[in-house]
Amino acid sequence: MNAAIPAAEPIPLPAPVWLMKFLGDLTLTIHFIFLYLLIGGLVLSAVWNFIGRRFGDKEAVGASGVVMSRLPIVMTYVINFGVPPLLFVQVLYGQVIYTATILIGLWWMSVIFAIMGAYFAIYRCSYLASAGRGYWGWGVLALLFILYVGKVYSTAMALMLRPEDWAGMYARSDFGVYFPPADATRLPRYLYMMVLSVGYGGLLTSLYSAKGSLEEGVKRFLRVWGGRVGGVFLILGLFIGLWAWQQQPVEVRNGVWGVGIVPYAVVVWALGLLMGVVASIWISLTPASWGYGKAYLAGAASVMGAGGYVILRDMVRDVTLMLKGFDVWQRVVNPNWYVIGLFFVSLLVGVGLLVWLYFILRSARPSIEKYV
Amino acid sequence: MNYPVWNVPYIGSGLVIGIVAIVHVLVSHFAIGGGLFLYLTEKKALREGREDWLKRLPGYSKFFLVLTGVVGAMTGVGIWFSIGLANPAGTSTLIHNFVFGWATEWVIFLVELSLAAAYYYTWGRLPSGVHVRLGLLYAVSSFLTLVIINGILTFKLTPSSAWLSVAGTGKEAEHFFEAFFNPTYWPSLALRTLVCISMGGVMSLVFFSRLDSEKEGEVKRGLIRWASLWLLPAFVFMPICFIWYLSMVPESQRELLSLGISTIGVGAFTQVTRLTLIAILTTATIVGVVYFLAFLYPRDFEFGHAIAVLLLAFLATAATEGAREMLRKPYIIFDYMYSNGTLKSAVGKCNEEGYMVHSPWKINEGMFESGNLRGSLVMELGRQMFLGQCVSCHTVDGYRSMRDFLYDRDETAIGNILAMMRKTGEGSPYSKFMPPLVGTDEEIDALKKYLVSLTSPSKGKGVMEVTSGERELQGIVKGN
Repeated sequence: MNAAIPAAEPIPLPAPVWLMKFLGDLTLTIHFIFLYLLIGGLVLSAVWNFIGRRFGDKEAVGASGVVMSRLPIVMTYVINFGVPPLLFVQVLYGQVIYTATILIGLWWMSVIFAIMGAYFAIYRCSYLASAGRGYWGWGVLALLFILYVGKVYSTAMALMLRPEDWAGMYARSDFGVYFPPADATRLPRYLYMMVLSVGYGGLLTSLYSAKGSLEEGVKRFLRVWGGRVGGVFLILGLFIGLWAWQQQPVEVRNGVWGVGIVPYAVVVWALGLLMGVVASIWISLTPASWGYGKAYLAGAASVMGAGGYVILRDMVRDVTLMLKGFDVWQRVVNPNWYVIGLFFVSLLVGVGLLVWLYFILRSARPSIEKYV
Repeated sequence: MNYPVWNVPYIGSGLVIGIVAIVHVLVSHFAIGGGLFLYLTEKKALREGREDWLKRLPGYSKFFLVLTGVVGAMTGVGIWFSIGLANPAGTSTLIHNFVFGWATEWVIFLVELSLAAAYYYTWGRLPSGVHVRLGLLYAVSSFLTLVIINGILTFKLTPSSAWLSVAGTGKEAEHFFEAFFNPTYWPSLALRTLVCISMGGVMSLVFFSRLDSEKEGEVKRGLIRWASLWLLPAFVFMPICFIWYLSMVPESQRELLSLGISTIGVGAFTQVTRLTLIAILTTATIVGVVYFLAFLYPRDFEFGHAIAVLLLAFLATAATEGAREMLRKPYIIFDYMYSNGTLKSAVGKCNEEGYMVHSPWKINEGMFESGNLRGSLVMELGRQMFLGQCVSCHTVDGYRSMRDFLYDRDETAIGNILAMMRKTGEGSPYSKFMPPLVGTDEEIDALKKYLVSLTSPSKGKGVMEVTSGERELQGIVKGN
C-alpha cells in the first residue's frame, strides 16, 4: 500500500466488488445520459432563444421553449442518478475519494450551492418560457453553474488518482482552497464530457420532436438543428476523447489495454459515437419524416457512447490506482445477501412503479405547449 | 489520523453540517407531511365537492414540488457532502454498514420524485380518482424514505449490542438488521412521523395565509383551520414518544440530560439540556400560536404570522437536532468511534505508538524545504494534533473558540488540562463530553506548545524556533 493513501476502512465491503462496480457503472451511464440532455439542452435552448428573439424566428423560440420546459425534470434526474455512483465510489474507493474531496473541500462544498443556483435559474427559464418571455440570460447563468460543477467534479475525480499531490496540497491549505497542481489528464477529460454533452444533447433534443401536438415548424427546427449540432459536436468529441486517452501515462494505457473487458468497451464507445453521428445526419437531412428507427438509433448511440466511456473511465481509475499501490479488487468482502436481495426487490418494485407511471402519463390529456 | 482534516475557519466543519442539516430536516419532513396533506386534502375536497379548495391545490403542489425537489433534495446531498468532509471516518463506517440501505432509499426517492412531478403536471389532465391515487403513492413512498434513513440516523446513538459485539471483527454485515432496527429506531420513527405531520401543517399555513381575507375569506377559513389541525397529533403524542425515546437511550447518555436538569438551580446547564428546553418551549409556543391565531381566527391569519410559526419551527428543529447530536457525545458512533474519528479500540495503540506515526499526513522536513510549511516541526506536529483531535468540535477563533477557552492560561495550566484529558472514565471530568486525548508524551507536548502559542503570540514565539529537543522529535514525526 502506498504510504500516502489512508488505511482501508476496517469494516469489509458489504458486497462483491464486481456487483458494486456494475451498479455504480450502470447508474453512472444513466446519469451521463441525463447530463447530456441537461448541458446540450441548456446550450441549445439559450442560443435558440437568443437568436429567435433577436431575429424574430418563431420556430427557434418555440423549439427553445420545448427544450427548456423539460429541463427542470431532466435536472431532477441528473441529480438523482448522480447519487448511487458516488455512493458506490465512496464504498469502493473511500480512502482516495474522501481525501481528494477534503483537499478541495471549499470547492467541493460549493457544488451544492452551484447546483441550487442552476436549479433556480432553470426553473426561472421554464417559467419565462411558458410566459412567452426571453430567458437566454438565465439559461447562460444556469449553464455557467453547471460547467462549474462539472469542473469541480472532474477535478475531484482526477485528484483521487494522484496521491503524489496530496501532502503538498494539504500543507498549503487545510481548508481546501487550492485546486491541484497541473495535471495533463484533467483538461481533456473535462472538455470531453462537456463537448460530448452538447453532441449527444443535440441529438437527444431532436427526439422531443416526436410529440404529436407540437407545431410542424418547431418539430422541423428541432430535428434539423438538433441533428446538426449533435453531428458536429460528436465528431469533435471523438477527437477530444482520443486526446484525453493520449494524455494518460504510457503505463496506464498499457495496463488498461491488458484488462479483458476494455477492447469490448472501446468498440461499444466508438460505435456509440459513430452511430450518433449517423443518427444526427439522418435526422437533420430528413426532417419531414419521423419514425421509431431514428429514435432507437439515437437512444442506442447515447447508451453505448456513455456506457463504453464509463467502463473505460473505471478501468483507467483501477489501473492508475493499482500502479500507485491501491488495488480495489484486493479489498476484504463480507456480504449479507439478504440485504442485497432486499435492495434488488426494492429496485424491481421501483422500476415497476415507474413503468406504471409512464403508462399513466401517456394516458393523460396532452398539455398545450405555446412559447411564442 | 487517517484522513486530512477539513478545517473551516471561524465556524468549524461541524457547524457547516449543522446549518445544512437543519434546513434539510425542515424541508424533508415537510416533503413527507406535505405529501400526506396534499393527498388527504384533495380527497377531502373531492368528497365534499369543494371546488374552491381544488382550485388552490395545483399552486400548492407546485410550491411543494419546487421546495422539496430543489431545496430538500440538494440539502440532502449537502449533508452527505459535508459529513464526508468533516468526518470521513464516521461517514465511511456508516456507508460500509448501510450502503444497500442507502441504495434502497435512493430507489424509493427516485419513485417519490417522479410521483411528485407527475402529480403536479397532471392536475386537470387525469381522472380525479387516478390523480388522488398518485398522491397516495407519493405519500407512501416519501414516508418509506423516512423508514430507511431513520435506521441509519438512530444507529449512531444506539448501534445495538449485537453490532457492537462484532464491531471491528469484519462480521458487522451479519448484524445489519439489529443495527438498523436498533433500540431507538421505533420511538425515533414515531417522533419524526409526528414532526412530519406538523410540518405539513406549518408549511400549509405559510402557503394558504397568503389568500386574500376579503375576496377569498371562506376558502381561507377552511384551509387554515384544516392546516391547523395537523399540529394536533404532535401536541397529543409527542410527549409520550419523547419519554419512550429517552427510555431507550443508553444510561450514560441520558445522564447528560439529567445532569443538566439537576443543576439548573445553580445555572450550570449542559448544552443538551439547554437545547432540549428550547425545543420543548418552542414546540409548545407553536401549538399555542397556531391555536389562538390560526384556528380561532383563520381569516385574520396573515403571512407574517405564518412566517413567525415557521421560524419557531426552524428553532425547534435546530434545537432538537442539536440535542440529538449532543446526546451522543463524545461519540460519533456510540461506544465505537469518537466524534473526532478516533476508534475507541485504537486509544491504547495511539498512546503507545503515537497518533501521527502511522498517519499519511505526518509532516517531514521536506515540506519546510519546499516552502509548503513554515515554523518548526514541533509546532507543526502540535498543529496536526490539534487538527486531528480538536477541530471536529473547536475552532481557533470563532465557534467554540480554543483561544477564548485557553484565555491567558500558561504552559503549566494547559499541560494540566491536557494531562486530565488523556484520562478516560471517572479520571476526567471531560470524558462525558469529549474524546480522550491520545498520543505519545512527545506528541502531547507538541500540542501543548501549539496551544500555548494560541494564548498569545509572544508566549509561543520562543518555541517557534528549532531547538535541539525538536531535532529529537523529528525522528518521531518521521515514524523512525
